[in-house]
Amino acid sequence: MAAQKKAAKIQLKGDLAVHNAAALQDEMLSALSKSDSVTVDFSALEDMDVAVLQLLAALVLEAKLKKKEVTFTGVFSPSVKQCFAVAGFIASEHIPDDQVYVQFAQKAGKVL
Amino acid sequence: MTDKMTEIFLDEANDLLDKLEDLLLELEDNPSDAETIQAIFRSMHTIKGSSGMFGFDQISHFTHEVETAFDEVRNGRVAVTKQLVTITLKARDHIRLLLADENDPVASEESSRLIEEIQEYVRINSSSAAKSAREESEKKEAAKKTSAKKSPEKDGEKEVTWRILFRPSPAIFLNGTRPHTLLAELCRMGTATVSVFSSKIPLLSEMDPENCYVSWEIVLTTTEDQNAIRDVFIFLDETNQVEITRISPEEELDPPIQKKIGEILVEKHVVTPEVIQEVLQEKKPLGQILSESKGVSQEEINAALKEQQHLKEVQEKKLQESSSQTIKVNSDKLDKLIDLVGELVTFNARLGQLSQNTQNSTFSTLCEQGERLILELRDTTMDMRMLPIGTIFSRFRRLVRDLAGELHKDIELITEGADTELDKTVIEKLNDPLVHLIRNSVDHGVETPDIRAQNGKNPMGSVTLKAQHAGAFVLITIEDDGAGLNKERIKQKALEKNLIAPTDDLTDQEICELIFLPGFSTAQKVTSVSGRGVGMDVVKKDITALGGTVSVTTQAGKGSKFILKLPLTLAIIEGILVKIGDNFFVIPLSNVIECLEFHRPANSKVCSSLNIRNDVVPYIDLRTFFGVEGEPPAVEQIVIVNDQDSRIGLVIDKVIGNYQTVIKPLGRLYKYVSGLSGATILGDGSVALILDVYKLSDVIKEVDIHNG
Repeated sequence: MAAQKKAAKIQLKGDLAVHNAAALQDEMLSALSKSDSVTVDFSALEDMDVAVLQLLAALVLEAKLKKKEVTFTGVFSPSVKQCFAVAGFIASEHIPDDQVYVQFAQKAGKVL
Repeated sequence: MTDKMTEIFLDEANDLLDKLEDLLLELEDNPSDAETIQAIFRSMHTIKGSSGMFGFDQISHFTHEVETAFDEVRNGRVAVTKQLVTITLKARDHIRLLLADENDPVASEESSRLIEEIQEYVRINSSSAAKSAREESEKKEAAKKTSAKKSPEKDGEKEVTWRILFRPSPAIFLNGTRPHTLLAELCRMGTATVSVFSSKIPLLSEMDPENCYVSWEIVLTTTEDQNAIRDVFIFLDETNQVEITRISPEEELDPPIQKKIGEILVEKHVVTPEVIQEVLQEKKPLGQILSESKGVSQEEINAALKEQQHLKEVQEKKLQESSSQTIKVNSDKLDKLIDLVGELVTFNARLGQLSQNTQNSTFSTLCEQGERLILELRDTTMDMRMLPIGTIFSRFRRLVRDLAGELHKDIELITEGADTELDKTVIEKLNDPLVHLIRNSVDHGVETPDIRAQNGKNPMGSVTLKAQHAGAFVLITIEDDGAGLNKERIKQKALEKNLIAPTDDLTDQEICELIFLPGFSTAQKVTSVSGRGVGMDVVKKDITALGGTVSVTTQAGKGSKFILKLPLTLAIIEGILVKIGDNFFVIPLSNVIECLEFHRPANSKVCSSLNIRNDVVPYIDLRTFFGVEGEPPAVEQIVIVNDQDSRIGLVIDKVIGNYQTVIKPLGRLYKYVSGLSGATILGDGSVALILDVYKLSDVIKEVDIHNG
C-alpha cells in the first residue's frame, strides 16, 4: 500500500533511440505496476527519436486505461522539444515546458 | 483636421495622377489591354469620388465627363488611338492644374474646352472602333503567347503548397532511419504543418517497441519543387509510403478563396462528394457528423482541419506581407531624423575623445559600443532616404512621347536599372539636368524617320536611360542612336564664339567637351525644345554642384552618350580637414588633387598665381580672404583642387587629415558669405566650415578680370 502511494520515477538519459526502446518499455511497465503515478524526468535527456515518442504515447494510453497518472518533469532540451514538435505531438517547439505534457497527452490519449 | 484630410487627398490624388499617366502611356504601347483600360477607369473613378467628397466640385465634374467618355472605350465602342491618349493625357494635366487652383476662371474655360474635345473624339470614333479593336486584339494574342512562355521560369520562385503523406514501414527504425529528422528537414523547407496519426499506437503492454506505429501528414508551403521534397525521403526503401500532392491553386487567387473542409476531405479520397452532400443537409459542424456517422476517423478530420488552418495562415501571411511592405513618411520627418543622427555621430565623437583622455576601460568599451550602434543607425537612416531612380524615369516617358510628337519623330525611351537607388536630394536635383539631356537627345540627336530610313537605320529611334551602381557612385547614361555630335560644326561654332583659337590643336574628345562651355549652342534654329545656348553648361554646373561629373562620348552616325557620375548621398562627404589660425575648414576630397608646401612671397595679395611644375596655377590666400587674425606660420601649405575645368590653389596653414563630414546647413547670416557651402561639427564640439571650391574659383576669376 505504501509503495503504491509513492510516485515511480523514470529518468531518461542521453540520446535515446530504438535500441533503448525495449529496456525503456520494461522500465515503464514496471513503474506502472509499482505505483499509481509515474513521473518521467526529461532533464538529463539530450535527444530522442520517434521510437521513444510512441513509447511515451503508449505509456500515457496504458496509464489512462489503468486510471493511473503520468507527469513529465524537468527542463526539455531543445532537440527533445523539436522532436515533439516536428512529429506533430505538440504545436510548436516554442511552447512553455509545462504545456508539453498537456498537448502530448491530448494527442496520445485521444483515441480512447 | 480638415486641412490634414485635404492634404492627404491632394497627396493621394497626385499619386493617382502619376499612376494614370503611366497607365495611359502603357495603353498607348498596348492599346487593347483590357486590364490597363480597367485600371485607368478605376483611377479616374477614384479621383472623381474623392474630389467630390472633399468639395472639389470642379474636378469631380470634369473627371466625371472624362470618365464617361472613357466608359465608351471600356465597352469597346471607341478604339484606343494615339490621339485618344494625347487628349486623355491633356485632361490628366488639367486635373493636376485644377488641384493647384480650382477656382481659376481660365482653368474652368479650359475644362469645358477639353470636355468638348473628348466628346467630339468619342462621337467621331465610335463607329470605327470595332474593326481596329479586333485587329489590335489579334496582335495582343500574339504578344500574349510570347509572354506566356516566360512564366514557368518564374515559377521556381513562387510559393506552392504541397500535401505529403508519410506512412513509414513498421520496420523503419531497424534500418537506422530516424523519421523525425526527415520531418525536421521538411519543416526547414518552408512553412509546414505536421499532423500525426497516432491511433495505431497500442497499449504499452501490447507494444513491440521496435515497430513504428505512427504516420504523418505534412502540409508544406515552400518555394522548393517536388523533386527537392522527394529528395528528403531518398534513403527510404519502397516499404515506406510517401505521397506528394500539390494542393495550392495553380494560379494566384485574388481574393484568396478558403477551401472548405469537405473539399479537403474529398480531395484526399477520405469521403465521396455524395456523402458530403448528404451530410450537409444536417446542420451540425461537418467534422462532427462525419466522425459520428460516416466512419471518418477523428484523426483524418483533425488533419483536414489543420490543413485548412495552414492554408489560411499562409494566405494571411502573404496578404500581410504585401500590405505592410511600405509606409508613407513625410520627407521632413526623415530629414529631421538624419539631422538627429548627424548630431548623434558628432556627440559620439566627442564622447570618444573624452574616453581617450580619461583612460577608463569600461567607459571606452561603452563608447565603442555606442559608436558601432550609431554608425549602423546612420547607415540605416541614410538607406531610408534612398529612392529608386525609377520614380523620375517614369516622368521622362511622357516627356519623350510629347517631344517626339511635336518634332514628328518616332522615338522610344528605353529605361534600365530603374531600381537603382540614390539619395532623395540627389534625385530631386537630378530632374532638370536629365530633362535637358533627354531633350537634347530627342531634338538634336535622333534624326527624323525619313533621314533615318535613308541612312539605313530603323525609322524608330531610341533614347536609352540607364542607371547603375559603381562603388560609392551611380552612373547614369543617356544614350541615343542618332547622328552623333558633329565635331566640325562644334569646332566652327567654338571659333565663332572665340571659345578656342584657330591654332588650338584639339583631340576629338576635347572638341566634344566644348559643348559644356557657357554660351555654346549649335542648333541651327532655336526651337522651343532646346537650343537657347543655356544648355550643357548649366547641366554641367548642376551635376558638379551635386559632387558629380558629366562626360560625353560620340560616334558619328551611330549616336552619342552622356555619362553622369553621381555620389550616392549628399548628407555625408569625405573631406580633408585643414587649419588656418585657430579655425578649421573642410575641403571636399573629391576636388582635391594634391597638397604642397607654400612659400609666401613678399607683399602677397589675396589672389595671385604660382608656378607648379611649369604650369601657372591661380591661388587664393584663405587666411587673408577670410580675415583670419594672427601671423601665418613660417611654413604654409597649399591644397590644389580642381573645379569644373581648371585647377586652383587654396593657401592654408596646415593639413590635418581625412575627415568624414556630416553636412549641416549654414544659418541665414552666412547667406552672403561666398566660398562656404556648409558646416560640420568636430569631435571636440567646435565648428568647421566646409569650403565651396566652385565659389572660390569664381572669386579668383573675378579678381583676374579686375586686374585685366
